[in-house]
Formats: sequence, C-alpha cells, structure tokens
Amino acid sequence: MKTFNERQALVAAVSTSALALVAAFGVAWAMRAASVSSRLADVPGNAQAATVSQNLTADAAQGRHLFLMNCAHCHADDAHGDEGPDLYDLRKSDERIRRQIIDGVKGEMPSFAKKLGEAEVRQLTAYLRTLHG
Amino acid sequence: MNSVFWSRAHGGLTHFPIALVMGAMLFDTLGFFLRGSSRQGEFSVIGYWLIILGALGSLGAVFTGLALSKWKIGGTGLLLRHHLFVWPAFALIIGLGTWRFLIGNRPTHHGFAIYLSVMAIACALIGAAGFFGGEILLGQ
Repeated sequence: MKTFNERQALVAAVSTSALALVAAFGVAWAMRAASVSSRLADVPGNAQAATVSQNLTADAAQGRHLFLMNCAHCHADDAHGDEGPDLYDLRKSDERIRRQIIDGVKGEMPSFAKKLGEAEVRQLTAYLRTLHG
Repeated sequence: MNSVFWSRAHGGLTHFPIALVMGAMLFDTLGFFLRGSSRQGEFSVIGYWLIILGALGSLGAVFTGLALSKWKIGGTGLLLRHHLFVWPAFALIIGLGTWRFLIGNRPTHHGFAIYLSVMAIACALIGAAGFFGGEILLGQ
C-alpha cells in the first residue's frame, strides 16, 4: 500500500469526510424527494391549502413551541402528519388527548409523562385545538 | 419497514460507534502519555482498530438515523438540535478514521497531539448529539 505522510493523509481525510457528508445528504434528499412526491399524489388539493391559525392564544402559542420541539419530527412541522397521523380537526376530548400524550401508544408513540407537565400538556392541547383544515 | 424497526436499529447501531470512538480516544490518549513504555504500542494498536471500526460503524448509525427521521437532515426542535451535532461529529469521525487508516501507527508526536485534540472535539459532539437523541426518546 502507498505510504502517506501526515499532510497527504489530512487531505485524504478531509476529502473522505466531505464525500461521506455529500453521500449522506444526497441519499437523504433522494429518498425524501421520492417519499414526498408519492405522498403528494394522495393528498386532496384543499387539504394542502390548509393554514395554521395566526391568532393563537398565549397557551396555544406556547403549545406550538412545544409541538415543534417534541412532536413535529413525527407529525410534521405543519401537523398534517408524517410518520405520525394528521392532527387537524381531532375528534377527541381534551381528556383523551391529554391521556394519549401522557400514556403514548404502545409501539407507535412514546409516553411524554416524564417530559411534559400538566401545564405543558394543556398548552399542547390548546394548540391542537387551533388546527382546522 | 416501519419506524419501530428503524428506531430499534438506530438505537442498536448508534451505540457501537459511540463506544468505539470514545474507546479509541481513551487508548490513544494512554498511548500518547505512556510514550516509550512497553505498553505504548499495544494501546496504539487498540486505538487504531477502534477508530476504524467506529468510523465504519458510524455509517450504519447515520443510515438508520436518516431512515428513522424520514430522511430529514435538519428537522425542527430536538431533532434539529440532534442533527446540528450529529453531522459535524460524523464528518470528524470519518476524517479521523481515514487519517489514522492511512498513517497507521507511525504518526509524529505533534501530528498525534492534533489528532487527539480533534478526537476530543468529536467525542464532545457525539456526547451532545447523544444527549439530544436521548431527549427525543425520553419517557419511551
């Protein structure tokens, strides 16, 4: 095998790092593009046009922050669902929503009992109540 | 394959590179400070293989992590914070593994000191990425 001095090895290391990042981002971009295009084909036009209410109460505004921190990576930033389901127009009582956040769903959604207090669950619920599509 | 599979695969695969890179840091640091002792060569060989295996293991951890996050390289909230530390850590681990693979067990003292410094940064980034990764799963 060719013998490298430290400077040559550094150049090779930086190049390999850049290549690894480009490869990872490229695979992610390609897979995401394929996944989004297949999902858009199934979504009705009026559902895509739904917008988040701009006039949030203080609780709902804090709930939106909590949602983006804890929930958006499964339910999507716009709460229209990704890995987790669409959260618009929920037909569940506040108590049922509270229980689901606290208990989770076995094998599908983690429990947030240790992470979110009662006030935070209430704020999250207030935000979910603003989602109408 | 569903998210439960990817969650378990990521959880399983991601701890190997974490342990291997931190182990490499430990043994290479011992080798660096025990220069001239009979054990120095053994520590150096262990550090060499650990960083190479850690770099190879990071490929699996990154792939399963991307699949778990639905191929997001950024995201929002805790996922974004996790990724902000993951990507520089990944780049550094691959770079360190490549450099060590090419240099073998014959770096200069000065070069090895820089290598260990960069590895310390990589370990700190891994720790931060692991913290936010754990926060996403907290309570699960």
